[in-house]
Amino acid sequence: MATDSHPFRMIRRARQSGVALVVTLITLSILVVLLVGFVASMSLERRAAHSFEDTQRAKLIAQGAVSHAVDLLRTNIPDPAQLSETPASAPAENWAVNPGRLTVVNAANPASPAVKYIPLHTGEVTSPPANGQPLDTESVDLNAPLPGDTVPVITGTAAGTGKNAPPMRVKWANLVSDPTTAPSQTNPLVGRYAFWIDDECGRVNFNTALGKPVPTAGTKFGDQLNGSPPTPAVVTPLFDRGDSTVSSSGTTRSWALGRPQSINLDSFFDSPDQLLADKLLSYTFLHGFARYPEAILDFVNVPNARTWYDANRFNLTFFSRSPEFNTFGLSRFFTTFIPLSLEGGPSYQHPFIYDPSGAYAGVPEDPSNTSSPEILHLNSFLGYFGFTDAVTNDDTGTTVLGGNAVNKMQEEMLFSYLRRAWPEYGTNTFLAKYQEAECRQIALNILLMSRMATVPISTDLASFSKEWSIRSTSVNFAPLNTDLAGHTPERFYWRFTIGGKTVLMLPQMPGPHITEVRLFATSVSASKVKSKIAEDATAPPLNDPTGKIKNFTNPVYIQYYYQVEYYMEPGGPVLDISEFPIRMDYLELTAQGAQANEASLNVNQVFGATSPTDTTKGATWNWNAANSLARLVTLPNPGTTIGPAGSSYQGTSVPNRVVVNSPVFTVGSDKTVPLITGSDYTTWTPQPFEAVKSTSVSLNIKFRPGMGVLNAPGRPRQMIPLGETSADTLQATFTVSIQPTNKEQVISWQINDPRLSWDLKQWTANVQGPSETGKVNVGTPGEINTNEPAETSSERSKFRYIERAPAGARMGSYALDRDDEYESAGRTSSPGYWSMIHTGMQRSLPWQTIDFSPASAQDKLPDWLLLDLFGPTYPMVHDQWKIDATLPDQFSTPSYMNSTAGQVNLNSRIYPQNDFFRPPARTLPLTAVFKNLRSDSEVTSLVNNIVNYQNDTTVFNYVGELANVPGYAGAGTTTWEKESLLRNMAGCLTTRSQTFGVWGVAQTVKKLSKNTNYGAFESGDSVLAEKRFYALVERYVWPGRDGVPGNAHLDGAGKWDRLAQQAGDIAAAPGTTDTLFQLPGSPPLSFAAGQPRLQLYTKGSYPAFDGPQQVGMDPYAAAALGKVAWNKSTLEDAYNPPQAAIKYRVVYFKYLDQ
Amino acid sequence: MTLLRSLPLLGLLLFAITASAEDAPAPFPFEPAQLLTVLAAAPADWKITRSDAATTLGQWLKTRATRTFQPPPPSATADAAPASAPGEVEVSVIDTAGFAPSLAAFADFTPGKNGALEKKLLGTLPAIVISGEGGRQFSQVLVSNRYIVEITLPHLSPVRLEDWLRGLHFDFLPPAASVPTVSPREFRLTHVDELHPENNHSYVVSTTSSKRLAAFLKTLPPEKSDTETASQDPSPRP
Repeated sequence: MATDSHPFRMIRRARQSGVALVVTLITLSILVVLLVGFVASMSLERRAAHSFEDTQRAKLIAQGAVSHAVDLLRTNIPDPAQLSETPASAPAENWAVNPGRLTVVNAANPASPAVKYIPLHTGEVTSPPANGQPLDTESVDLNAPLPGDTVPVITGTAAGTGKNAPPMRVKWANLVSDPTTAPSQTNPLVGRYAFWIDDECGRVNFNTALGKPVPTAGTKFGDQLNGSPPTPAVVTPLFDRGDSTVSSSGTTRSWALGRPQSINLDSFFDSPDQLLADKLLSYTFLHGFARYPEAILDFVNVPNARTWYDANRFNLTFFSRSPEFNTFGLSRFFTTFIPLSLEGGPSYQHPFIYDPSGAYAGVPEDPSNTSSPEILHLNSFLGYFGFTDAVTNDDTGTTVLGGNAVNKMQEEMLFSYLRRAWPEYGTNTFLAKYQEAECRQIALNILLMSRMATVPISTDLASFSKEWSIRSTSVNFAPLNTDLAGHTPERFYWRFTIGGKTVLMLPQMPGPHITEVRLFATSVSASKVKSKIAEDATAPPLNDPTGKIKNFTNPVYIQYYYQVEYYMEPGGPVLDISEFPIRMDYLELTAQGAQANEASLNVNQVFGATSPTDTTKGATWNWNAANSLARLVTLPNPGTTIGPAGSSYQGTSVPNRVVVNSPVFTVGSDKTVPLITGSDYTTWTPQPFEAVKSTSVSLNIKFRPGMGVLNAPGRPRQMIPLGETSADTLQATFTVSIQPTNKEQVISWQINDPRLSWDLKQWTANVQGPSETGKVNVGTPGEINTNEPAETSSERSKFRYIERAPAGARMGSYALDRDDEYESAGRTSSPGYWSMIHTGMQRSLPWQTIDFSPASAQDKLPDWLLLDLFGPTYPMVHDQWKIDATLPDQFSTPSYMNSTAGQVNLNSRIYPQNDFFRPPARTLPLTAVFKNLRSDSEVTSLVNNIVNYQNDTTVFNYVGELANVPGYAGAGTTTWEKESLLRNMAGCLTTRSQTFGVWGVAQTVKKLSKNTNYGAFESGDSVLAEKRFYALVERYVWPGRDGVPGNAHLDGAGKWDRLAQQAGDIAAAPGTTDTLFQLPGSPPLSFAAGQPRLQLYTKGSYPAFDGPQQVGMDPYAAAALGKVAWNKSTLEDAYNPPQAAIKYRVVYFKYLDQ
Repeated sequence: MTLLRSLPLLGLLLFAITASAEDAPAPFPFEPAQLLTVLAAAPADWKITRSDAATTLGQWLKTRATRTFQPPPPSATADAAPASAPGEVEVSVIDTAGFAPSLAAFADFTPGKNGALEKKLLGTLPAIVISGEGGRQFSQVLVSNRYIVEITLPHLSPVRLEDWLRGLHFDFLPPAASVPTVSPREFRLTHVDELHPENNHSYVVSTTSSKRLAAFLKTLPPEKSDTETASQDPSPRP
């Protein structure tokens, strides 16, 4: 029987077949599921990979966008002048920056300057796209909030959020696959980006802004800023900020108005105490600047810091610097004691400029010096130069005086600028405005004021007075032994040949000045009497050594003396005037009377040269000639103090006018001034006149006194007048009664502006006396002159100078002295102080100074253009050096490598200007600059006027242009008050920028296959990835390969090394080493016993320069400043390129959506 | 009568002698306001047209106080036209502080006459009288070997010189200051105008002493070598 047909077996077999199917189906299902999953996974992976790739592409595009932005800046912003270009030849090419726009004015043809406006973005949106395309196809709103956020990324919440966010839409820049070929189906659009470049100088730098207080009367800042008669305002008003961490001696630190710290960050708060100012100051002072935008959040005390930040960030920055090159592309002048650049100071690499033409090579003593074209010259105004330090040309052995070598070069350099036409001002020059003599005078005035601003002076009254007298003559001409030998003081005058005539000059001196001279004449009996006064002022006619009077019945002597009034201008120092004697440069007298025998007697005495060519009188040319001119000296007593009105010294008030009499002189009978010395009558040679034969003697006197320096016998400070002939004299004619009825005769000469003392015509002769009624009130000794404007008048309100004084000198209750440029309370706190330079001395225009009034009120060029030549000098303060030796750098020092941190740009108008780009007006930073200097409403009005001053064709090309803005002068009544804003705040303002915020977006895109505009984005095209970014780009002067000025570098501990050793050894005593010594690339320095700081070591060398262009130094300048060496290299290989090479770097970068 | 008239003058002389005998020469003259008290008041019907005083510094300090008196206009009589008015009288007192050169005109005083100049004694007071043009008379009288009284009389002066002298009140002066051993460095020179106080003023003046001048002259460089050296410009290095 067949068992295979058993039904169960059949059933089992059937069951087995179903399982397989099921298994198969299950297997297949699993496989399908796996396959689907795999496919899905693969698809996701592929998409993710594409997304990552697209994002990376977008980042690359973003970086490319930054490069584009940098290129836009680099291509269009003029570079500094080349080494081969001088103040005389450097191109006049000005530029100014607005947020979103660059303006360049090329004045190669001054009469028709070419003005270019360069948009600093990827394109302006002027209308919606055609054909109803979405806006985003052609442009992008850079201010749009990030996905998931409502706060606009650029403006924050300052002008609305969400739908109310102000648009800042610019066009896309499209990228095709191969940008070198035209767009096509095979070279389609693959990405795009857009950016807009903001000006970080348009914002307030919270690292430097600190804030000045309200100048309330009765507070230090209020009293010093505004003053109140008779206590005038002072030149550097101070305010206190910070705690003991930033002060080595107290609980706070003083800051001079004008430094970037004067900008009020507290303007951003409802209440000033919401800013943790002391904490912020401590941080930045001790550790350098914070390096990211949100760092400010650590220093605010508000309920919601983030909310506050979003509301204000459009007006804030952590890093802003502006360039310190002038409109001619050359370094502005910095005011420093020694060349600072190589210690990381204000200047780039070196404080010199190159002079291939040799225009400044010759010094008067050595006109054959033709060492150019390897001459480097100064672009710092230095206080260092010893006027009489001999410097020797090592090549020729010729020795000149250092003052001449350096002063002459700088004077010529300044004069070169004054000859230039200025961009935007046609062919006008200051030479045309002021003429050559005045321009030369202005240059000398500038040199001396810079010298007085920086030269160290002792602090006790006696030493201060002595050094002040000497230093204030250090810009006089320094003659060689052979120059006009014997002609003193004439040999110390500057001599310029102008129009075929020799013009003499002395620089504008700080006080004291002589403002009145009175000459007295009288007769005395020649009887034999002796004074009983122990300290008799003069020698009495004790006896008759010459035997002349024995034949006279009633002999009389004719006597004369002069009196001078010393005056100290407001803000001047307290001084001991014994250091400022009055010497006599020339005196000629003619006396006519009767002799004993009734014959007429005619006496003529001449002391001094009658003309520059007069060589007949031997030593009497010299005002130190012991037998003649030197006897006519007036010597104020030691301890006789003078100071500005309202000042005191050690608690005792000090007068601002002091009157001093000369000795009483007697008309002599020979070529000497009769003099008795003790009991020595050997030179007592008076001329008697017979009173019984005549009732009077006519006396004519011509004289030329001058204020000298006690400890520098040859140097003149002020001449009355300045001249070399007998005509250049004060002249008086007396009829002196020789009867007992005789009364003293007097004549007075007074001057309006004593800085015009050189000009005889300025010395107005007052009435001669006594008058008919016998009054002797001739002149105004000790009082304001009859022809002087009032002390509080507008015209003399700028009769000021850089302020310094000995310790103990006070104005009101405040110290009169100011610190040096290395202190936060330094005396050079604003370049606006150059407005105290006199501009009318040679034209005999009293009270004329560099004018900060509107251009419309000035002839030809406005004076405030000159501000463009001067850089603010805010190096790191002494205390900071001691705290962290890793400093200084661009994150710690306001003045560093020709850029200044924290200045605010006057050009606040934001571009582009259209309906698609409507950020809020940026007014808060300028408000912060002027905060508290006027009332809030006045500041608001002023800032609005600054905004309204600007339009599409009017930008602020120069800081001084602020003077043109309505409301600039405020309610001030005097020129001093009207110019307050520019004078005090010029150093806090700029028109250019070195720091640019690049706000952008980058996308990778894919063209839709059916779209055929391959080079542009069209509706239907895809955005594959997007990155939004912010980059802060700095334009800076390249310090060389090692990245630091000079040859310094960081050691393993992160401290600065000093590799640039000078040739000689420095013997620094323990505990007295100056921190300057440890800074990178210091100039050659040496230690002097007893001196607290190191001094320039003129036999040493600077760190060697390198680069493609050979540089050297005039041998005289080298002898005065230290030697310069040069090694040939390419520019890129240079460690210390003397050329100001501009580079760009990204200081900060952030993807906003990350 | 003459003797009676002379009594006040004798009092002045007595004061002068006493003062001269008791006081050493004062180093400083009196202040202008003090010296003004010496001057006579205006006689009845006379008018003071000037009254001021000032200290000056020439060889030495000197204070001069001056008053000018204007006589009343002459009364017209019935039978005569009014006479021309006599000129003003000026009276000054100069305090020389005893400084000898200021008194040199009275040194070796010997009465006598030389032309218009006459030296004579008014009592014991040395006087120099000069006759001027038009009958004017100028007189200087030395008092106490310190004060010089100057009186200018017009022609036909109704008041004699002696009468003006009698009007002076040296006794109004405070005791003179003692003699300091060292001269002060500065002097305040004051001008007082009684009739026009707005003209009052003062200022401080110093002078160059002979000692200081002598010391200074010794410091001068050799005359033909006036070039400065670095040593004269002490290094200002920091």
